[in-house]
Amino acid sequence: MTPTARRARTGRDVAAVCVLAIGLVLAVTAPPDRLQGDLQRLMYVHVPAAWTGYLAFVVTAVASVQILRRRPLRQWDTLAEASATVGVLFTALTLATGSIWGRPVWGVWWTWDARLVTTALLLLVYLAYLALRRGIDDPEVRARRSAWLGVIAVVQLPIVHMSVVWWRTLHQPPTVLRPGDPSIDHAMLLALLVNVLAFTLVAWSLLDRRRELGVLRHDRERDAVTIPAGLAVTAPDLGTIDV
Amino acid sequence: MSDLPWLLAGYGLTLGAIGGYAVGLRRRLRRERDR
Repeated sequence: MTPTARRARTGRDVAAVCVLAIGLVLAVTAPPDRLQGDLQRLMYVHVPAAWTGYLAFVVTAVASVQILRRRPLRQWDTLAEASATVGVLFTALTLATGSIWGRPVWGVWWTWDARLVTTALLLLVYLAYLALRRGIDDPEVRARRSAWLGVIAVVQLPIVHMSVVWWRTLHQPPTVLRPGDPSIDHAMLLALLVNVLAFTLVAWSLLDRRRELGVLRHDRERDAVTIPAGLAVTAPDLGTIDV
Repeated sequence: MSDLPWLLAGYGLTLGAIGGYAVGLRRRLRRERDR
């Protein structure tokens, strides 16, 4: 990594931590919800986690399209994998924080609600994507097969987002990304948007490092293919030559 | 503040998971670079 890239990464890490700290302060100081009281503050981590998961899966889909267009694997396959991994982390957090909110508000940890089920399916499909990758040794075959899944799986995102509109559901309808003005107090909206920015920056930092890990592994695999272990030529032992 | 345990659980889990993943990733990166 070049010194410039290292400085840029450090700068982004510092920005992510600072914006996250500001977001947490705003989450604590925003006015409580009229009906839910302080419990509604869980929204400031739940919604940004969901948004970040969506974004990460879109990045995986874009990178997957590039792989199917036969663009360089080292660049795009590592991005697709890293982004799917980060997306899985944030989608799992979305379900977990939603569950923690649901227990005191709905009275249950889980219910077979359209939004919950579609989100759980989204998580399962991307776990399958990562499992598929683990099951194929050839980097080229792995990249192409998982790219197909990466492109198909992203179709779930509009279904998850619109599930609260299309089906009768316990989950509240869209508050920010909806036709017309957001139906939320401005102080709450500010806290939400700052946390969305913070989670996006954090996800970017994680993605950057996860991708570097993928690149290192990709290079190691490539080197292993270039000189297969079974074909390695060992120099004959010539003994010690006294001069 | 009967809501506090739920808030602590939600925020703790989120920040803990993200922080834990970041630390784990750093260690894996260092190990991979040393190989």
